[in-house]
Amino acid sequence: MLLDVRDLTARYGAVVALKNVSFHVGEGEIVAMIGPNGAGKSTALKAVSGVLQTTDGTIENGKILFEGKSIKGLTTNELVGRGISLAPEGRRVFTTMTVLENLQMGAYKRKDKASVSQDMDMVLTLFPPLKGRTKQKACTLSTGEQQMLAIGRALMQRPKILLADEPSLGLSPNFVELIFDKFTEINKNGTTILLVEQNASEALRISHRAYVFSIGEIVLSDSGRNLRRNPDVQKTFLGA
Amino acid sequence: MIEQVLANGLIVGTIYALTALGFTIIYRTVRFFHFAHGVVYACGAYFAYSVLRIAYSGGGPPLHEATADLRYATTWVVAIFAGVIGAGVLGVVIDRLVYKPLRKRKAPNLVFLLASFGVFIFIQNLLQLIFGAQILTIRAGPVKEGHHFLGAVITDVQILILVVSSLLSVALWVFMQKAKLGKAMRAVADDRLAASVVGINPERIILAAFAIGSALAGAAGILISLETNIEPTMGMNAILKGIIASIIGGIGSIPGAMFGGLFLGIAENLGIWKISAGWKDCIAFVILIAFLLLRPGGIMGIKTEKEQL
Repeated sequence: MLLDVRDLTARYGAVVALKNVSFHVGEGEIVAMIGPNGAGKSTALKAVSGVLQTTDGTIENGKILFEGKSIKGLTTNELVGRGISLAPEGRRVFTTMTVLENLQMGAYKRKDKASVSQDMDMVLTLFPPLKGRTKQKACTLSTGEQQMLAIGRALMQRPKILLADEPSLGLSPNFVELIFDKFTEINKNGTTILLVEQNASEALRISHRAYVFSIGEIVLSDSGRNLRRNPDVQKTFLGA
Repeated sequence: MIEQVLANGLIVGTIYALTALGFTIIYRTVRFFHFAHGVVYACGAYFAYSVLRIAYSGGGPPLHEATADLRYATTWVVAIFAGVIGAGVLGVVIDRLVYKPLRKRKAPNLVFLLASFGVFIFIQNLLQLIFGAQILTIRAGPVKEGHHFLGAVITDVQILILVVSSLLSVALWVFMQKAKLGKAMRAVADDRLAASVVGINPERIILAAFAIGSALAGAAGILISLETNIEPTMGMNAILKGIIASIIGGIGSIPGAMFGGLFLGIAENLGIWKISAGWKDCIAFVILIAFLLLRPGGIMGIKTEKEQL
């Protein structure tokens, strides 16, 4: 098991955002966490990625194990280099830097220059729209292209697991489908993926397994396919 | 006459630019006004003075003879290094002792600003306690007649100020564009969360920003004291001009700080040419207010509002 989270309780100030949540991600899987706004799915991802403690959140209880070792309490920058990388909510590309510089920053902690340039080629092949714009400032890209860049930047760390926080947020519909297809492609190349998503139908389409969050708890977990067929899920998330 | 006015403006402008650059490097990284930057500037001058004072009781050796005498030259080199590196270390110490504990407590920006004022006053009084409130000088020997150049008269020291501050500005620019640390500093300035996402440790970058920014302040303090006198309160005027230059250039922008400094220096000198020297600071503030009203983003106008963590 690559990532194993047990009995996680987290809060923002006095507000409990997660109550005894347990989930896991196996090597090679695509796992989605879905649920309405404020259900705690994003908090769960932020707890894993170390972002929670940089904001006002705290992990009160529970274990977060990555490859069997505890990563609870590590800051986001400490997780880089351990094989965990994040495509954060709202993309957060370096808007004052060029596309190329953004991707280079992704490899900030890596020393192996040759394989870095290999990965650069891989990312630019994966996302053709970025290829012709390497010299352009990231702020000139469309939202969808910025999301590609954020994912590309995360891949530049050659992660074992890619965490994606609301990757479809603010994207036009045709980009949403494209981005999710890219996740499948990235996964086929050997990267495990854990994503948090509001767009349940797209997320369930590509994921092997998924967890359904509601008011700080996991209420359902099953394969992506089964969840898509589940009448409750259909009613609540898929608009059926 | 206009040539002379422009030359004077340019010379003082490069000093403003240097102060503004140091201030900006720090501001971009920590997002609060490090007001104590001014007293770091003063300390740079006092550190250099101390070395010269120890080597030669009373005043320094003539700078213009430093080229002729190895002992003079060595003393000056040591003095300048002491001023620049001492200022850099002082900046880092201020951050570690005052700002870092505040960061841990997630203090609001206003608290940082107040703390910074406190540090400013504390160190300025310390300078007065150690060196006295009187005016000191690190210059010695007669002021030599300047060179005639494009209709203006410029002294050796002024040429030195121009050359050194231009070189430092360009070096900083290249460093920020090309060096790995420079890029990481830009990344933190752009988006601190995203910087941690790629593995940059924000605390290391803050350390680097204080070291580099404060060293630049030290250099500016030494350069100005080659031209004028030093006194404990010299930091106040310097930081005000540095901040004005940063704002009119575009707060947080490195080229903005450079242009803002030059713009302010030249505008001030054009102003006092036509009015009177007593109005110099007034002119600076009028320009500031005009910019705040008409073009608050400054000359370079970069974005400053971004979700802060």
